Amino acid sequence: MIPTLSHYLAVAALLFALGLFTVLTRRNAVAVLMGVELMLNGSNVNLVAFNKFVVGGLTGQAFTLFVVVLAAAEAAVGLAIVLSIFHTFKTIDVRAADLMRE
Amino acid sequence: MEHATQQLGPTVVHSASYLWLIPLFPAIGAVINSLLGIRIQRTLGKKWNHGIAIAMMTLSFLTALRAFAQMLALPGNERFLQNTLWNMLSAGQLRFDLAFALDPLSMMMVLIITFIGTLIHVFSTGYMADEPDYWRFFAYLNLFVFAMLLLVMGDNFAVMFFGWEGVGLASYLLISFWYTDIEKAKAGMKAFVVNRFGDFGFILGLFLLFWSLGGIWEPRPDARSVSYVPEIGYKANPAASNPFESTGPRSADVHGQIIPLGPTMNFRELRDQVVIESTGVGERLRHQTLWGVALLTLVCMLMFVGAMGKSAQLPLYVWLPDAMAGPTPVSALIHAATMVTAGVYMVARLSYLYAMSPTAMGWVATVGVLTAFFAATIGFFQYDIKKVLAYSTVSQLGIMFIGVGVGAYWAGTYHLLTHAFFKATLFLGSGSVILGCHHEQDMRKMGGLKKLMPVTAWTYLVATWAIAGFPWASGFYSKDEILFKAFTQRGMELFGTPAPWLGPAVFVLGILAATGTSFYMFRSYYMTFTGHYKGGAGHAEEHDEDPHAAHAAPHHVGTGHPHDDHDPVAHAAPAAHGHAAPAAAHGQVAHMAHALDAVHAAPAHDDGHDDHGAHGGPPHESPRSITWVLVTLAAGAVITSVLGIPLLWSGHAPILEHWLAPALPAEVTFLHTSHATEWLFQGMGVAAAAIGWFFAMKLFKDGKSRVPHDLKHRFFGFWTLVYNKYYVDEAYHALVIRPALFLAAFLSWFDQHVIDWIVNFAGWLARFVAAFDDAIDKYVVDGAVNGLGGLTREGGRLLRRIETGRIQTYLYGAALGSLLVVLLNFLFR
Repeated sequence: MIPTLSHYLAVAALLFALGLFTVLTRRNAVAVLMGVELMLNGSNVNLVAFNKFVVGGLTGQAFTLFVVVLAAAEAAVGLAIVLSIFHTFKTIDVRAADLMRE
Repeated sequence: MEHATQQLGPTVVHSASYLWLIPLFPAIGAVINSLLGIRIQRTLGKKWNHGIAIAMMTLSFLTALRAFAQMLALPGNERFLQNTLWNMLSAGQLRFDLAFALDPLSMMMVLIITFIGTLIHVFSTGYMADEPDYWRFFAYLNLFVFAMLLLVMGDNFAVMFFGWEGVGLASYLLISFWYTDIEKAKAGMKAFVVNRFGDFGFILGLFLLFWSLGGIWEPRPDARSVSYVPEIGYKANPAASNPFESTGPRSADVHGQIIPLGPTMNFRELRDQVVIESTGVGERLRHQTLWGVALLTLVCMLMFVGAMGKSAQLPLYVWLPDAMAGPTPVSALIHAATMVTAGVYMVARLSYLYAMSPTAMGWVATVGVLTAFFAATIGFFQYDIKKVLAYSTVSQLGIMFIGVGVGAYWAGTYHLLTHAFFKATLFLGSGSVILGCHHEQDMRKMGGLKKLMPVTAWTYLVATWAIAGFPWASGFYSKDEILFKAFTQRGMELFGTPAPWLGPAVFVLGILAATGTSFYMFRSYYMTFTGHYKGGAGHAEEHDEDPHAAHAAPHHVGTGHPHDDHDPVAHAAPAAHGHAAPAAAHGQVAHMAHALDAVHAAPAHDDGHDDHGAHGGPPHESPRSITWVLVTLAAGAVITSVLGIPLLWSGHAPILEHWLAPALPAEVTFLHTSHATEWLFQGMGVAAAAIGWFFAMKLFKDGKSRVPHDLKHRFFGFWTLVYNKYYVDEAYHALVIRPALFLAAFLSWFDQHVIDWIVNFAGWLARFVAAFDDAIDKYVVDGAVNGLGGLTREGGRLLRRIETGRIQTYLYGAALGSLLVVLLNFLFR
C-alpha cells in the first residue's frame, strides 16, 4: 500500500489532537509542555506531507527544521517558566498559577 | 507773545534716559521709611529717618539740575527731554506709556518741587523733632514729592493723573497726620472728598477731549496722518533717535515728520496736532459742538473744575483752610508751594487748548479773580496765623488763575514760582513762630516776637514784602504783569458772548484783592512781631467777643475748662456743625487728643492748655535747621524777581518768559499800550500795596491802636459774617452735606424696604426652583445613573465566573472557538 496524503494527514491530526488533549487535561506543567511538543510535531508532519504531495522542493522540510529549533527554544523557555512557577507556588500544578484572576 | 505769528513745528524730542530717576529717589525714600522706618527710628535714631529722606530729596534735586543743564545746552525750540520706560496700556487707539518728559515749564516745576521740597524736609527735622511718629512723617513727605513729580513730569495724561491722585492721597495722609484728633482726621477727609468733586470734572474733561479727537474705536474719516514738511534748516530730531546715525544733510522725505493724528493721551502729540495749523485739528476742535456748546469750551471748563478742586478755587476752596490742621511744613510744601499749584500748571500745560476758547478763558479769569477777592476779605479778620496764610494762599492761587485765564500764561506760571518761595517762607516762618510760642497759633497771644525771634521776623517781613507787591521783591513783578495783562485782554467771552469789559473788571477786582493782601499780610506781621508779647494776657478782653467762644462756652461747662478757647478747631466743630448733644463729648475728645499731643510736645505745651497765664517760658528762636531754611527761602523770594524784570525796565523780555516760550505755544493777543500806561499800572500796583501797608501799620503796629476794636464793635454784624468766613462751611453743610445725608437716609430706607423685599423674593423664588430641581435630580437623574450602575455591576458579577485565571480554561475556550470556526466553515461554505 502506498501511503497517500490522507494517511499522513490522519497521523498528523491524531498527533495534534493527542497533544491538545494532553495540554487541556494534564495538571502537571511538564506534561503540558510535552503536549505542546506533540502538537508541534503534528503540524510538522503536515508541513512535510504537503511539501511532498502538493508543493515539491524542500520548503516544507526547511520550515520543519525551523519549527524543531523553535520547539527546542520553546521547551527551554517553558521549563524555565515551570521552574519559576515551582519557586513561587511550591508546586507545578498549573491550576495553582491563577494570580491573573484577581 | 512775540512768537505768535511764526509757524510752529512739531516738538523736537531729545531722549534723556535718566529722567525716571528724579521721581524714583523720593519713591525709594518713601518705601524705606514706610517699611523699615519704625525699626530705623528705634534702633538707629531719628537722624537716620530724616537722613534717608533728605538724601533722596537731594539726589532728586541734583538729577533735576543735571536735566536742567542738559536742557540749557539745547537751542530754545528743542528743549524737550523725554524718557519712555514701558508701555502701560494699549487698547484700541488708547495707548499710554510710563513716560516722563521735561519741557521748560515742567523743568521749572521740578526745580521748585525738589528745591523747596528739600528745604522743607530740612525744616521738618527741626519742627517735628519731638514727634513720636517721625518716620511716618518723612515717609509721607517723600511719597508726596514722588507723586508731585509724576504729576509735573508725566508725558501723558495718565501719568499726570496718577500723580494728580497721588498728591491728593499724600495730602490726605499729611493733613490727618495727627489722626487721634478727630477734627484733624475730618479735615483730611474733607480735603480728599472735595478734591474728588474736582477730579470728577477733570476726568470727564479728559474723556471728552479724547472723544473729540476721534474716540477709541472708530477713527474719524478725516483724522489721518499727514506728512509735515518742516522749514529749511530744520533738523528732524537727529541726536535723539539714534546717536550713531549721521547728522549730515538728508533727503527731504527723511526730514518730513509724520504727525500722528487722532485720539491721544500724550501731551506732545496733542500739542503737535492742535498747534500746527496744517493738521486742521485745532480748526475742527473749535467748531465741534456738543449739545450746542463748543466742545473745546466744555473740555476746558471740565478740566478747570479739576483745577478748581486741586487749586482751591471758588467754590471748592473750603478744604484748604481746614488743611491747616496738618503739620506746618506740610502746609508750606503741599498747601502753598506745590500741590495746590497743580491746577495752574495744568492750565498752563494745556494753554493751547484754553487759548482757543475765549469762553473758557473768561471763565478761568472770572473764577480766579472772584476767589482772589473773596479769600482776601476773609483774611482780614482771622486770628489764627495759619488761617490767614491759608486764605492768602487761596487768594494768590486766584491771582495765578487770572494770569493763565487772560492768556498771560508765563506770568501766571511766574506767580506760581514766586508764590512758592514767599509763601513757603511765610508758612515756615509761622511754623517757627508756632514752635517758638509752644504750639500757639492765635496771633492775639503773640506780639513783640521781633526781639525774641529776629531771624524769623526778618524773613517773614521779606516774604510779606514780596506777597504785598513792593518792587525788588518777587511778588511785585509777577502780580503786576498778571494784572496788567488782564487789563489789556479784551478778547474774552462769557458764555459765548464777547465781554471786552471783563479784562478791566478783572483788573479792578484784582487790584482790590492785592490791596487787601497787603493789608492782611502786614496785619499778621504787626500782630505777631511788634508790640508786647501777649502770651497769656491780652486775650481776655477779646474772649467774650469771640463769636466762636460765645457759641462754644455752654458746651464746655461740663468739661471743666471754661476758659480754654484758644484751640479754634475744637470750638469750630460744635458751633459750626450744630452737633448740640455730642458737643461736650467733642470737647473731651479734643482734650484727650491734646493730652496725647502733650506727650510729644514740649512740657510747656501741656501747661498752656490748662492755664493760659502759665506758658512755659518766653518764646525762643528756632533751631538752626529752621532759621537756615527760612533765610534761604527768603533770599529766593527776592532773587527770583530777577527772572521777571519786565521789558519796560531792562529792554529785554523777562528771562522766564523767554525760557517758557517754547512750552507755552498759545497765541493770545493783547491790547497794545504805551510805555506810560505800563508805568502807570506799575505805579498802581505799588500804590495798592502801600495803601494796604499803611492801614495795617496804623491799625496794628505795636498793638496800641484801639481803632480795630472800635471798628469791630461798630460793624459787628459784618465782622461776624467775615470772621466766620461768610458761613460758607455752614452753607456747604446745609446745601451739600445735609441733602447728602438725607439722600443717604432715604436710600437706606429704600434699601431696607424695597431692595431687601426684592432680594428676599428672589431668594424665595430661588429656593422654590431649587426644591423642584432637587426632586428632578433625586428621582430622575439619580435613578438613571443608579440604574446604569446597577446594570453594569450585575453584568460584571455574572461575567467574572468565566475568568478563572487558569490557563487551561482559556485554552478550552480557544479550542472550542477554533472548533466552532471550523464547523461554521463547513456549515456555511
